Amino acid sequence: MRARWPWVLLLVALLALGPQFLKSYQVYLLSLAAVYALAALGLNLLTGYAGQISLGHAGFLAIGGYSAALLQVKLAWPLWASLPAAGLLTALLGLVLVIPALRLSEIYLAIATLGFGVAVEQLLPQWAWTGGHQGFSIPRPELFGLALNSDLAFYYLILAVGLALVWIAANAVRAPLGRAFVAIRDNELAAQALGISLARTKSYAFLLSAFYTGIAGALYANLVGYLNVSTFNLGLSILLLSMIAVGGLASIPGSLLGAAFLGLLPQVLSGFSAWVPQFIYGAALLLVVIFMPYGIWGFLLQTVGRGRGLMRSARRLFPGPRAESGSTGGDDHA
Amino acid sequence: MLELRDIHAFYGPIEALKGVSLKLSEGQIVAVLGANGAGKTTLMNTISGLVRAKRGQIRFAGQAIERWRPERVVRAGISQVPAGRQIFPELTVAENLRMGAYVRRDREGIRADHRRVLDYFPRLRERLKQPAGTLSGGEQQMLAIARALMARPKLLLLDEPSLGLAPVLVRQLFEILERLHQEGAAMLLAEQNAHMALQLADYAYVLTLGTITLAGSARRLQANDQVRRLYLGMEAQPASRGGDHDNIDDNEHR
Repeated sequence: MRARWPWVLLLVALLALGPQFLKSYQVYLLSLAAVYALAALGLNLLTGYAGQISLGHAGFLAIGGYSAALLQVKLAWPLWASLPAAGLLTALLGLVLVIPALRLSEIYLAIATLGFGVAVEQLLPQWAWTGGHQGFSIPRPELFGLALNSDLAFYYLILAVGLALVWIAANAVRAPLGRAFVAIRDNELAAQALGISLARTKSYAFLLSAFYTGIAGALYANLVGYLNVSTFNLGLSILLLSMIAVGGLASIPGSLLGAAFLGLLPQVLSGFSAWVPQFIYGAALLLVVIFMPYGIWGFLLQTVGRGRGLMRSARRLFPGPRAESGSTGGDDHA
Repeated sequence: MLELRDIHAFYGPIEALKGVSLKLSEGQIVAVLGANGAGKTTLMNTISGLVRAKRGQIRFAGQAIERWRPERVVRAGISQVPAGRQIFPELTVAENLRMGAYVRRDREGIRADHRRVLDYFPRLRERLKQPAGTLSGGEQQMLAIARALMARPKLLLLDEPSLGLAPVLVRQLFEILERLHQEGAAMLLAEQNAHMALQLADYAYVLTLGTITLAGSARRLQANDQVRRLYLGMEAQPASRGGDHDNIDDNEHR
């Protein structure tokens, strides 16, 4: 476990210094991937760890983005205040989904969250402040008097916020709260019998997930500088879900890896005609489901050979039958 | 210690408990015998708060607990071992045990209890770092009980602990329960394996389609004709599969 630290430091150093040598547009793309990664991390806390599927996370991105943008543009809030405010506001609205989550599971919850995402997408342009279907633009913000007008400067803001949130998530999943997430995911009955409150645990999962996704939305708004509701459609929700499935469910590195892979893929392949990235996207999903049931990260861990010990916390895209009969379960870890 | 008075509860649309009353005193083992569908699991779930009683009272250690949420019931000192080995297959044995102490914050006490339960179940010590899903059925049942003990309960609710276990393991399991009993643990034990349950218990109730049809000391029930015929597979019982008279009654499950 301790052997991880050098790798983490190396990665952080690479992320901090690498962009110095990149072109401005490449830095922008990297920032975009980082924003996706934060949203994917938020979704993975909810879906990968706590087992609550969401097809409405584009709605949270939109809420985070619009609240940060409106606070800055209409109320002249500074960035340092509007960013956490957007996260908190999104988190509170995330609690709305706890109500269906306490009554529904799996596919039914997916439909309810899908409804939430669609509702957000439909309601936002109805409000005059949001600029309707035309959308509206947001000037690049300042941070403590420092203009973040270059792509590189804004990249460092995203990196700092992102590293802090990744660190918090890494600690949260190892804390009793994170274990409670896994417990209600794997066995609601046993979790309750041990004194874990379903209502409270699911509330925390939605709060935390929506907070992360809201922050990601706020960063997105400031990064892109323009908001339009049509960005936050069902396709984006599904893309986020694909990211965590491809990267690795219930895994923090998996969330980041999946977001980097699927987020940058269209850009890397932008020289080709439009169907090529689409085709590779589809093929990648298919191949991962078949050959890497624990996602890219799980596959890497297995290949490196220390897989078995670490794999247990990872989760397959399609969980097998519950190990209720006692004899199963073993083969899930092969 | 525990007293149920006229409990009515539903399992889905079915009224699974139709006015059940029972009592359990400090340090006692009370067995609830009954066939499949008699209401044993609903009874356990009603006490632990997983099912809300429609009517009736449950008193535990002087408090009315029938409206409490499960997490509050656990904190009050009732731990349930749900039927069917409800472990967390993807967590290791050690992590499963740690989950058992979820409601506790006393690190020292938790560590002491960790050692204590491994002392009861030495097989688990060898498997601490293994995912619980890779354990055998018997080991999973041991783990479920060990995990419930990690909450340091005053009362243990055991829902069909012997279900699906080989006779050798059932005997081992009951030896451990006997040891816990001697150390003063109180247990409510729902069982189809009436033979083992009546050997262990101080007092027993027979639950039939949601009502208590028979109650008495375990020794008296062992001698009762109806119990001998229906639950112990003796006398009027026709020749059974395998011919092993020790535990005929619960073979229908597997």
